Formats: sequence, structure tokens, C-alpha cells
Amino acid sequence: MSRHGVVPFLAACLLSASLSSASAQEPRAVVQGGLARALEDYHRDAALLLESVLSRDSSRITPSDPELSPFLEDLQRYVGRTRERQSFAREQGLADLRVDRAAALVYAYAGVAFGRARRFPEGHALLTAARALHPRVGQEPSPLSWAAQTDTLGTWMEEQTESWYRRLGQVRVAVSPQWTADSLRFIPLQVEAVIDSSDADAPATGAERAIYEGVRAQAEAALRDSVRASVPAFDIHLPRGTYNVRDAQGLLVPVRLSVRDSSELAIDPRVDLWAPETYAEAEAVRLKEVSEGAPGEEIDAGRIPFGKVLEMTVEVEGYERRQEQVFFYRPGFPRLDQPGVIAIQAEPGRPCLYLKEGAGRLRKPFSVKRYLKYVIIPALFVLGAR
Amino acid sequence: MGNFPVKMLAAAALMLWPRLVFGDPVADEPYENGIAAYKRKDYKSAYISFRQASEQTQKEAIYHVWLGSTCKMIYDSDPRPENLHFLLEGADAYKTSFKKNADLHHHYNSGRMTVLYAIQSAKNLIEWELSPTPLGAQLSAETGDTLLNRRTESALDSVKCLLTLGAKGLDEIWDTVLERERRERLFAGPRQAVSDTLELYLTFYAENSVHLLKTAYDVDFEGLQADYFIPKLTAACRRGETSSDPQWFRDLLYAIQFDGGHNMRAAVCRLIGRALDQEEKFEPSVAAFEKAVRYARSDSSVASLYTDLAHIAYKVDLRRAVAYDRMAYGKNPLSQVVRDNYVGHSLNLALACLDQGRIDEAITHIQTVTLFRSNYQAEAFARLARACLKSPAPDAREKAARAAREAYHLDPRYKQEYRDVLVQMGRSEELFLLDNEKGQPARPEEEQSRPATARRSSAQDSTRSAQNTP
Repeated sequence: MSRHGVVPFLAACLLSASLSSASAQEPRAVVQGGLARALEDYHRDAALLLESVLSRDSSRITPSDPELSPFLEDLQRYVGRTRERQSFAREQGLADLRVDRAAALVYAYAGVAFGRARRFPEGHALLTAARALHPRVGQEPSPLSWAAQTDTLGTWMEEQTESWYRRLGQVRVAVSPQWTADSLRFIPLQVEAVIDSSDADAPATGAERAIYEGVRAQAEAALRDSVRASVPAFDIHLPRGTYNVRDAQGLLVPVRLSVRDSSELAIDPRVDLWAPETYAEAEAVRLKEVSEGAPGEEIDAGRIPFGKVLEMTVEVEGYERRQEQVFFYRPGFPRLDQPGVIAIQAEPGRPCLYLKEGAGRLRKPFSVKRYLKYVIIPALFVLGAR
Repeated sequence: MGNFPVKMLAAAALMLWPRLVFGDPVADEPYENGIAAYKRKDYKSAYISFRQASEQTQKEAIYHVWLGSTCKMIYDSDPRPENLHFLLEGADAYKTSFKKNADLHHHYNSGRMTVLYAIQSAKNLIEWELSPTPLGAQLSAETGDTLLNRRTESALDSVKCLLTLGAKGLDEIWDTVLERERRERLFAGPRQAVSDTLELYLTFYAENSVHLLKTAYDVDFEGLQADYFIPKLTAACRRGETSSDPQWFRDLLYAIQFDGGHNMRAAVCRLIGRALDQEEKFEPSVAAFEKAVRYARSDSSVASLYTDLAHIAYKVDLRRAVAYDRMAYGKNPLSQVVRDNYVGHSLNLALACLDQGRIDEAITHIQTVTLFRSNYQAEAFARLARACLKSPAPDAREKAARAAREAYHLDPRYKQEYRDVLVQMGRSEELFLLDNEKGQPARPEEEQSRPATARRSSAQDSTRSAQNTP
């Protein structure tokens, strides 16, 4: 016993004493009472956290607000604990009205707080869970010390979360694995709202606009993070309306996305989606064969050999002249990894994308004889398309 | 030959290396026996050895407890900054033992040592790196500034990291509190008072949250969301109200609910200011209160802070006290306490000015506070009249008469005062009217004593309110 120190010993004594006192009651009743009291404590703690969240000035809340996020993390922890206890009570058949009510209130408070932080989908999910446990949760009195006596929790739920959630649409984003594995991860995508005055849902006041802006910024962050983490398909929530999706440089064609109740956005390497409008510059790109380090004869743009190192000269009016060594290969064939040589995956007869960074870069796309399309934009990696 | 000890050390390290890295100090011997038995295909004894090893490994949690406790003892017996890292090591050891046997007290200990380490290291850093030093002033202007700035920045970064670490440790302790509470509930059923262990946890949590915030005060709460502590401190205080020392928790609760209960920065600055005031450190306490004013959000809180400042300054500099009172009145002109303090301090200042013979200044001070309603407005008018009588200005006597009349109208007990002024100015008509006024019989003996008592009571009141700094 001495190895454990004094305090655990005392604790053990205390526990054994209390065990003997508790054993007088029916054990299920003891557990049930303990659960209910624990959940009621969580409910009171969550009310304090909610009060702190709601005391923040609503107009100053930014996406992923550092002042709010610690409270939200804490609320998440309480929701986790509540969920654990409540599911245990469910399994054991111990869930009574008291347990369910306290758990529902914890969920509802967290839902309202998430709505305040403009994380409406999460908030809505929590409120739904609360309603499923305790259908009259909206008629509970408001926990806030400054609220009027007649205020109900339902007012806050509607005001902070539900009314806004109903204005959102869900977008299912599917990213083709080739793109996630390739360089899309390094191209930050942007989502821009298109302001359309004919739109009935368009934000009217400054406060509404700020909230819409916050939701849009969160959706953009979610899109970016998911693409970076190579998630093939995920959901983002946006206010209903029209959006442009584009990359940071704005060089690829913007995808126009109309969000109604639920929309879909496919991000895949289909060139008709991503390739910009092209214009012919027949004289702009010349390809030469390289034999023993010296440039050989010029190649007709219509008959490009695969699997050979070529010298590409790019000359467009108003741009710097560039010389690159390139290597075309078909998908499934070996590619050349050699410093100074850019390997480009291409299929005969199909346009392909070529992304290049650096000084004196070409900003405008151009095509050669309708067979190969080059898109030269400042990006990090070489991309290939089917 | 000089290399010999190094070589010896290297050889020893090489020999010990596998044991140091992979070796389990407890289960080493049975483990090796087991391997040997396995190799010689004696599976029965290998089984016994491995069983023994696994049992011994399970007991290892106890060794980690010993290690953690030893680290704590090292620091406690010799709390030098060099020994601070022992606290962190001890926290690690306790954490390991908690993972092995899930004893909540080990979790608490690990959190506790983390918090102590964070607070103490942050304090040391602030003391050594972030306080102004005489040496820093001697460095040349060009290089010295940048060097100093860079050093300060890196120290500030470290302090921020330490504060975050402390907050994490506090979160761990809060988890322990919740878990402990749940277990006690399950075993003991509904009970009114919290157990001693839980009270210990709660006290430590509350006390050290405030300590951490007080440390963060020195670097303007950088790297710490101070308001984050309010809900959980409130929850801790609510739980603590059923403990053996409920008053401590209640006092803390009142303290943190300053300024609407959602502004920990202002609350902590105010706490620090009051503590420094009790130590009679004038300038630091004023600085703390002024910081609190900067952080406070509502006008009434700002006014109450200014009133506190005025009470502090009253002991040192009367003029400054009146200035603070004026600012408080500007922020919250409706509060009776603020008004009365303003009037009381101003009258005292005017008295001091009169003593020094600066009559005009005294008149200005009194006149300002006669403009609004307060408990001492009549007294202020009476004093204004007295001061004006001393003034050499041409319209001063007229003013004195007006002020004395006002005092009399506000409070009939100033009748004698008014009468004296009229007699001095030789205004026999008004005097006649005053003496034959109906409804308010003159009681000279009471009237004569009254202004003196009023003066004394106002002086008493201002000193009393100075002691009762809220």
C-alpha cells in the first residue's frame, strides 16, 4: 500500500465506504441517478459555454475565429461525453426522461453555439439529434442569464442556426483520383460568389452578407483541405446562388456552379472542363528533334513522335522566347526522368496540358494545329491529360 | 591516451545501448531467460518466463509513479530554475502510468506538474528576458535595438508556448475533475458535498487558472484566450460551493464576473490591481487598473474602475484622484456612488487649495461639482459660498449669496450659513424675509451644529469609501 502513496489509499477507503452506503439501494437505480446527475452537470456547464459564445459580438466573428474555437472545442468535448453516457444508457435500458432531456439540452446548446460560429451544417446536425431525443426541446427556457423570462431555447435555435441552415444548398464534390494524386493538391482552388440581383436569396443587409461570406470562406477552406488530403468525394455547403470555381491565378476556365438544394461539382481532368479557350498560333511553337545534344530538323506539328527528347521553342508575340526540352509519352508507357527534360503525358489526337512556372512565363494559352494544346501557366508541376 | 575515457564511455554506451533503448528495466531478466529457453526449445519454461515478464511489465506503472513523485520532490526540495525540467519529466512519467493503469490521480498529477512547470517557466522567462534591464539600455542604438527586439520576440514566443502548455495541463485537470465526479457519483449516489479529493482538484484548477492568467497579464495575455477560462472557472466555483470552503469559491466567482461576466482580462487586471494596492505599491497598481480600463467593455465597469483608481490615488495625489473621479463621472454620470465620490474628493481638494491660499482654483473645483445632483450638493454650495466670500473678485460676493441661497433651498439646515452670508453682505431686506419665513421655524442651535456634522460625515464617507474599494 505504501507504494501507491497516501492519496489513492484514502480514495480507496472513501470509495469502499461509499460503496457500502450505495449498496443499500438497487444498483441500477444508483447508476441511473449517477448518469442523470452527470448529464445535468454537463448541461449546466454547456450552458455557461453557450453564454460565453453568445456574448461575442456577432458582427466581428470571422471564419475559424480564434476567440470562439476554444469554446467550440470544449462544447465538442462535452457533446462527446454526453453521447458516450447517453448511448450507454440506451444500451442498458436506463435512459429515462431526465437523461434524455439533459442530453438533448447539451446537444441543443452546442448546436446554437455552432450556428453562432457560422458552422450551420454541424449545428443543424446537433439540433436534429436534440429534437430526436426530446421533441419539445424548443420550448425549454433559455439558459442565458440576460434572456427575458419568456424567451425559449427555440428562439435561439431558429435565430442562430436553423433559419440560416435552410438557406444553404449542399454541393457534392467529386474529384477524380488522377487529379488528387497529381498536382491539384498544390493548386489552391477558390470559390467566388457571383452577385446576381435577380436572385431572391441574395443577402440584403451587411450582416447577412458577412454571414454568407463566412460560410463561403469555410466552404472554400473545406474544398482546399479535402483536395489536399486526397479525399475523392465530399460535401460542402454554400448559400444558394451562383459561384465560380477557379484556381488562384485565374488562368483556367472558371467553372460556373449553380447551387440549389443540392448540386454536384465534378473536378476531373476532362480538358473541356479545365482547358481555356484556345487560339491558334501556328508559328508559335516549333518542335525540333535532338540528336547528340544538337538540335536536328524541325518536326511537323501534326506528326509528333512519342518517346523522344524534343526541343520546344515557344515564340508568341509580346512574350519572351523560350526553349525547353520535352518528352512526350503515352499513358502506360515509360516516362523519362531526366533533369532539364519535361515529360508530358499525351495521347495522339487529344489536347494536353502543360503547366510551367518561372520568369518570363507565358500567360496565354495557344494551340498547335488542333492536335496538341499547350496551356502554359505558372504552376508547380507538369500535368498530363488523357 | 587522452581518448581512453571517451573510448571507455563509448564502449559502455554501446554495451548498454540496446538495454537503454529497448530494455525494460523490470522485465529484462525474465525476458532474456525466456528467449534463451525458446532458443533451446524449452517452450514450457519460456512460457513461464514470458508470463513473468508480462506480469512485471504490468507492474511497471508503479515505477513511473515513483519516478514522477521523485521528480516532484527534487523540484520541491530545491526549486531552482535548473530543476524545472524535472517537473515536465515527472508529468511524462505520470502520464505513462495513467495510460497503464488508468488511475485518475496520476492523470491529475501529470496535469498538475505540467501546469506548475508552465507557470513557473513563463514567470522566469518574463523576469529574465522581458523585463527592462540596465544592461539593455547600454547597448548601442542601432545594433542594440534589433538585438534586443529579436531576443524579446523569441522570449515572447516561448512564453506564448508555455502559456498554451499550461492551458492544456488545465484542460487535463478539468477532464480529471469530470471523470472523478462521474465515478464518485456512480459509487456514492447522490450526495450533497463534494469529496476532499474532488475539492483538491477543483481548488487546484481554479487557483492555477487564475495564476496562469496573472502570468499572462505581464505579456498582455498574448497567446492566451483569457475569456476561455470563464465558463469552466464558473463551473468549478459552482461545484466548489458545496465544498468545505465555499466562501473562497464564491469570492472567486464574484471576482471573475466583473464587467458582465465575459471579460476575464479586465477581471484579472482588476484583481491584480487590488492585490498590489493592498501591498501599497502605488504605481504598479495604478498601471494594472489602467490596463483593466483598457480591456473593460461597459461604461459602468469603466466608471467603477476609475472610482477604484481615484480611491488609490486619493492616498497619494488628491489632484489625480479628482481627475479619475471626473473621468468616472464622464463614463457613468448616473451612478450615485460615482457622483458622491467625485464631490467628496473635489471638496477635499478645494479645502487643500484654500489652505494654500489658491482661492480661485478652489472655487473652480467646487463649482464643477455643484452642477449635478448628489448627496453633498448642499454642502458643496455652502462651501462655495464660504470660498467666494474670501475671494477678491468683484462679483464674488454676489456669487456667495447665490450659492448660500441654493444651499438653503436644497437643505433648510443650511439656514444659519445663509444668514451669516447675508449679515456679512449687509442685505437687511433678504435677512428680514428669511427671518420671518413661515413654515420653517429657525432652530439656531441645531443649524449651527449641522454644517459641521455634514462636513465631518462627508469626510468620513470619503475615507470609508476609500477603504471599501469595491
